[in-house]
Amino acid sequence: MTTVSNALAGSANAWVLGAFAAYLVVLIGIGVWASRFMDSVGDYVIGGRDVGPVVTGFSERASEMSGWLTLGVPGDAYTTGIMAFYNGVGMIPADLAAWAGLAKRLRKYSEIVRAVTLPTFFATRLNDDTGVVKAVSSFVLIVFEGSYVGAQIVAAGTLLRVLTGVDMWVGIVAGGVIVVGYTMLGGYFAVAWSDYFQGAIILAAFAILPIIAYTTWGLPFADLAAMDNGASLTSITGGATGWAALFGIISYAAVGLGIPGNPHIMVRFMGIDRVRNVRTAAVVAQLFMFVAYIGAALVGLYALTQFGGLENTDNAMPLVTLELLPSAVAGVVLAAALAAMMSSADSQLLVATSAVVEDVYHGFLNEQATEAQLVRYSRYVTLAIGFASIGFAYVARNTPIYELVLNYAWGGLGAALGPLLIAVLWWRRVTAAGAVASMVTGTATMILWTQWPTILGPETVNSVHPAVSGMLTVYGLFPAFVVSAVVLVVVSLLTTPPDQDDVSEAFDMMHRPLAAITDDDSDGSEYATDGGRPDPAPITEHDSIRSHVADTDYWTDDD
Amino acid sequence: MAVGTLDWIGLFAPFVAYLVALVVYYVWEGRRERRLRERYGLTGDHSE
Repeated sequence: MTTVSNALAGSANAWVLGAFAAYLVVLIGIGVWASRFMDSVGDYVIGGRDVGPVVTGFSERASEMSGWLTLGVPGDAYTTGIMAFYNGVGMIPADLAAWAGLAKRLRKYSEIVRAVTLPTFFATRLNDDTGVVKAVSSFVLIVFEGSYVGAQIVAAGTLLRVLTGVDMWVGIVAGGVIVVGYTMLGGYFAVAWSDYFQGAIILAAFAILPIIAYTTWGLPFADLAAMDNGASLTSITGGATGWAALFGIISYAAVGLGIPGNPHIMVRFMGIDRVRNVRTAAVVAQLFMFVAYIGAALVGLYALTQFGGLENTDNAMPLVTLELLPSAVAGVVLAAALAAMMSSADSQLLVATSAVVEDVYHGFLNEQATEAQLVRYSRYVTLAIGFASIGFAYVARNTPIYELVLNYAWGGLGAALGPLLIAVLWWRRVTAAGAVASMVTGTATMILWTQWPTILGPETVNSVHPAVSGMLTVYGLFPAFVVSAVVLVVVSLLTTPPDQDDVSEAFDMMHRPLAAITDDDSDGSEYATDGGRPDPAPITEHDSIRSHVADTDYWTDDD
Repeated sequence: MAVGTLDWIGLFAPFVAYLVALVVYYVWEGRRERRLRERYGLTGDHSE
């Protein structure tokens, strides 16, 4: 076994660096070139609206091709062994359930009421005139999307460190400045196809790398079993038994609970071109997941068996990529991974910015705000959240990306917004008070659960009954989601029921084909589109956010 | 054997089950959408 530690940093040769730099330059060049042909952001959005279900399904999953899947899951496999395959076991069925149970209803209703962001969607569906639902859901988005941006910056910093050998803090600052600057420019550089193209490159890498690794090194399982802790590395419970094994499996299964609450996934559902294409998009997204999760875990296992000794487990994927792929190809794969992280961070930063300025300030504090004010405040807010995210990334730079995303971003959004999103689509009795209580308790529980070992001390956690210990150390999204859901139901039942006529109207919109609503309802036909014409809906996360940005003229200086 | 039989089953069985579920969903969702459109008197593509 070759011992590799920080010697990896800066080990990329000139071909890797050249291809890496060339890819990013070409990407930016295409963006600048394309932007010259766009008169407005709206033109850009329209240009992306005719993409069909295959790309829609692909992009729903490509949005996950950020730091967590590219670096985090291989890092998890490097640490835990074959149990890391259970990341897919948690995510795949939850994603299918979301496609089956949420996608069409969310797509139809949000289209009719013209809701582009989740806070607006919640406030509209719950008929909340007070602004509290919008304000609290916006707060949740600001906190956890900001953390998501921080995690992407850590991932970008890790890649820059691996390739160039710079210190981690330099990678983080450089990655952070690029993300914030890129967003301040309006994100124009990310032409729509590049998101899919980058997703395709990374997906191909996760499909091909295990095959090359297998032909080079054979299957990794015998080598895993021969390692010092081989028994746990080759066990689907990570070597744990009893309560610890049960809660370990629950932790992986609970990862999927984050899907309904994560806006970057839900806005894909909101933006699908045709409602009837949902099932094709779902199949594409699901097949994507099979390849990506199994491939990512295998890459981590090969990194462990062939190299070992990594100080930073997030280096597992770049290491295998540099080792197995020709230099220029490796440079392209890693550049695509970096570009995907930048793209995700850009979207997440815009979601957080729009939550502050549009949902809170414009929608709640100052409804009469001028466009000039909104533009100005949007820039301040993007800068503030961006730099807060860089600070978060610096503080959290030694935390594995896998945990950083799950505990501080994915889990928080899933616990706070997930039960509510399911309820507003399926439960007529949910109230605004129940929604607010659910978001607050979901957020608080998620934050608290991650801190139990710190609050109680590791000795205390380990000395209690294994069932209690397992519960305290289980992935926090599991208890937080359950508590959030219970509070949602109880508080809703204890408060005044919503007007059932309004609710029936909303549920009717979610149930009927859009074309039927368009035919029946002349008021709705102005907005309802099911096929991209005449007023097509945006189809990707970027498109959704940019259409929202275009509506508010955030980036248009008109003063 | 590097990985025990039970571990192999635990590893593969969920993924096989998910593939089956995906096929079931695809067929079921297609029928559901068709029934819904028939119920509201919609035929063909009304979107364009």
